[in-house]
Amino acid sequence: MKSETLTLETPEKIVFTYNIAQLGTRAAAYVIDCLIQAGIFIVLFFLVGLNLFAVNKDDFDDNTLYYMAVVYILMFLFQWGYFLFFEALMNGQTPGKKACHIRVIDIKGDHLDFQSLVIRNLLRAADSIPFPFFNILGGLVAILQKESRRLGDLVSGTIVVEDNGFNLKEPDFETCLSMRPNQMFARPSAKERLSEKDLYILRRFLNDKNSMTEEAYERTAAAIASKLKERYRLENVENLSDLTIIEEMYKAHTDEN
Amino acid sequence: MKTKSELFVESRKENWAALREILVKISRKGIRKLPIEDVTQFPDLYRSCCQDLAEARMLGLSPDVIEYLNGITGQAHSFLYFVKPLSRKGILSFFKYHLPGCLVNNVRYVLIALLLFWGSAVISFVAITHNPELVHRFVSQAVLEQMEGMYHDSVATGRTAAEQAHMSTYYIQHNTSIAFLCFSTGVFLGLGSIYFLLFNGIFLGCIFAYLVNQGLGMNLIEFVTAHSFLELNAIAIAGAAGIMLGVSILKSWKAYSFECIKSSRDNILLLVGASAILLFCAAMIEGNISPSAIDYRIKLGIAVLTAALSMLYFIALPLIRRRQK
Repeated sequence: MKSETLTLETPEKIVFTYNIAQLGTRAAAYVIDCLIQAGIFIVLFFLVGLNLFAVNKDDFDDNTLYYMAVVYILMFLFQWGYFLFFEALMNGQTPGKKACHIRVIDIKGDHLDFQSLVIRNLLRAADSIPFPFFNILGGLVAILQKESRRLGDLVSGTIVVEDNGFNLKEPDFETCLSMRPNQMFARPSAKERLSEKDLYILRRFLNDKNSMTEEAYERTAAAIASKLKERYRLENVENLSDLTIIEEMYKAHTDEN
Repeated sequence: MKTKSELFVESRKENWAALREILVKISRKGIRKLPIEDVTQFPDLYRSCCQDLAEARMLGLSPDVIEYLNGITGQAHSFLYFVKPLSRKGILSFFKYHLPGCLVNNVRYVLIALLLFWGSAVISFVAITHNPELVHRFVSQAVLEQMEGMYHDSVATGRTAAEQAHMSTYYIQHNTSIAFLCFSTGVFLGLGSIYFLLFNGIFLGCIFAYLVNQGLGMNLIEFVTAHSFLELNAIAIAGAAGIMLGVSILKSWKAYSFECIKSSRDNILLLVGASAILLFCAAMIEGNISPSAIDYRIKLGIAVLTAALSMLYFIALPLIRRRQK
């Protein structure tokens, strides 16, 4: 399944894309984090001893009461602080998120600040309506949008992205250069040229593309590009956007030399 | 002759490889172990690769090259734009300047929340003292019996130190969670916070009136005097933060802009912080002093003292500072 991408404009005004983390991955990370918390609790319960489950409260000796005080404090800190602590310390990751290779980032590409993380994690209480610890409402909200953000993400301006989604492998520049789009769209012979009428359609589209609605733009671009692909049997163009195909085609067919 | 694209790739290739090498080093050993010469180079390399990415798009280079550049700049971005750490100076100025002003600066929201909470409490108290049967519409019999059992005898019997520690931490965990829930449900355009404010206010009024009707009012008052001012107002402040969150979401909805939330975000968090701190103090008093067997006049004194101190910090201090400006 292809994941959605987030196009980010950094403070340097450069655009690049992140892969948005999928809900399943996020759920897996959350389960891992819950298991870690549960593990610490189980260890504590064994330290306290099983008399915690005694029915009569008067049976507790002082040591048990002190242990319970510690457990309450830890419960409070874990419930509200676990995610905040690790996300602040590990650059937007918790142990579970790290294991699943996802990360919280600011949706504008800026530094994540502490306040965003606090709001993001306080709103877990609203995301986990109606049952505590199961992010039912948050999950529903996330499913309904392209960027799968839960309520806490929407309010704090954060988003969870894949952390190993980047391809760091150095490409073979030689072949890449020989396969430049410019050269794939060779200047056609006079017989195969687009007619003036067809060129007019391409020109109209390229001129008007910025004033079109997104939906109309995508539909028109796809229609024109698929016609071109069919007519000229274009190959190796799967990686190119419809717009690039149309632009390069127009250039190749209008070049005067 | 070489094309423009070939010249471009040839001249920048080494820069890209250098950035890639730094990224590999960071992912292997962590950013703290990066050699000093790499640290100084890293931001410059990132910036120049950002430019190269834009230029590669303009030149229409092959998708593989663009993806590679996108990869190294994106990865570098996630390392460079790390989470801002908290500074010690920041924490100090938080307590000194930012926190005390939060109630006065957002006085409208705080007053609305206080009015909702105390208003519903007083109305339900008056209604139920006049018509005791009404209480069964709001509170179940089981809860009423539990309350009656708790306050049947004087609670000021004294507890051991262990019991006090146990109860204090319980109150911290329980009450602060209620306050956070009261705040965070403000995300539903403030409605959740309003619901919790009214719910808690009515419950408080009902229980108080019911116990007074049963002739147990003095036992209840003896227990709650010392901590209730801090505790109840702190819940209302958390509700104020929630209402403010809801209003800022409505505003940014109307303006199609996220900035409205962002600009009121710090004030919202200050209110939540104030609420949490007050609840922590209240829980300490509720666990240690309220149930102890000391003279009632001392408990009353503590109530007056904490009320005066918190009002000095949250109301007098910012007003004096405002006048000085």
